[in-house]
Amino acid sequence: MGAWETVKNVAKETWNQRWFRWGVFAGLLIIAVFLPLASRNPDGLEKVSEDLALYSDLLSYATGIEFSSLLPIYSYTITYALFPDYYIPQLYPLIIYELYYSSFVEIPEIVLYQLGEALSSAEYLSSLLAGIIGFFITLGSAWLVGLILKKREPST
Amino acid sequence: MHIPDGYLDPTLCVVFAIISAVFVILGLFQAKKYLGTKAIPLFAVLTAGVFAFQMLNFPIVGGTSGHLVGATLVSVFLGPFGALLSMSIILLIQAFVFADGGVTALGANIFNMGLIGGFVGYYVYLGIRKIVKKGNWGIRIGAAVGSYLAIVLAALACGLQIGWSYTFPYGVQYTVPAMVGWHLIIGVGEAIITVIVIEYVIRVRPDLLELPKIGFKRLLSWRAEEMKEASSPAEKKESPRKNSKKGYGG
Repeated sequence: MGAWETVKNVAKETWNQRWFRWGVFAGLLIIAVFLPLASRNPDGLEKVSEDLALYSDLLSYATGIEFSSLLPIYSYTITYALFPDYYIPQLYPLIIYELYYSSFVEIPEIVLYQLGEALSSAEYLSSLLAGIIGFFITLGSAWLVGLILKKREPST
Repeated sequence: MHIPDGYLDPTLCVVFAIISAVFVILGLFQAKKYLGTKAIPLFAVLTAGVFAFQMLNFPIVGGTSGHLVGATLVSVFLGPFGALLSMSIILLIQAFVFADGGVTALGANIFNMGLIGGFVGYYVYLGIRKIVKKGNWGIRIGAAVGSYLAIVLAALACGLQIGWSYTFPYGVQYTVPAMVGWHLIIGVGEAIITVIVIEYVIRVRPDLLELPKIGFKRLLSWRAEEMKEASSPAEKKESPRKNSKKGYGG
């Protein structure tokens, strides 16, 4: 059995599992439904570092001695990734840009401006898209890793 | 509890990267032995599902939130090394694509969430499942306690790591109580989500819980007797399903 046939067989077997399709659907559904309900509060570690940063600021203020604050660390970590913090930062500017330069329809600038304002407050769509893309990246890479790591089985 | 860049000393980054790399490589060899074709879709869908759950923070008291780590959830299905590999994939994608957890702290993050999460969670689950024989209660209680302990111990490890780092301006006496304290609460959420997912699988496809696990064979050796006990009710439940021939049975 060639390598390509193995890939095809595993793909077929994966897709034939009803619970696999159901699992993918359920995962996407969970993202779509629970994303607007998800908490934007800092998680455990973020909370600890925020509290300690606040504490160090207070300490510096009270004593006049400089205590290093953690906030600068935050500001430089969240810049280089494609979808920082599960958002697509380029999404809304891109939509507005496309609409502005599209040759099919002529949209007055004030409308585009209003649309941009409205979109920038709507975090859901951007976050949802980032989540779905991430879900499929994870699904695909895990499947590929599984395919590569598969144990040798006697061919049937 | 994804540690960002800049929190950890270079030394700690390197040490934990080496420890994690050794275990991940061990895991790759173990997977090559035990990961059957039938487990690949499960591995993929569990990894993606845990990724989805990690995006969704649930609020807890005091303006804080927590999210599922999910290592125990994966390990219940695929064994400790399965969980380690799964978490490594998720953490890699999160670090490089989503800026969730630093690239330099990747080793420490895999150590905390994959290694501690997977191994502690799995062996606690296994131990409780061995003791509690009544129906599926061993699975439920084991998964709940295992995931809870895994989160708290992972938080302890995380607190120790950032406390030991000179780049983080606070010592262990501040970071450990704070981290463990918050995660004592977050762990409850972790346990609840883990049990809900496992409860659903118990009702729909209990056979998926009995796939060969990826782990050290000697530590898993008594699984053979466990499988005999568990297989009979599982088969009964599975038989009335329409496509049982298509699924794992056939």
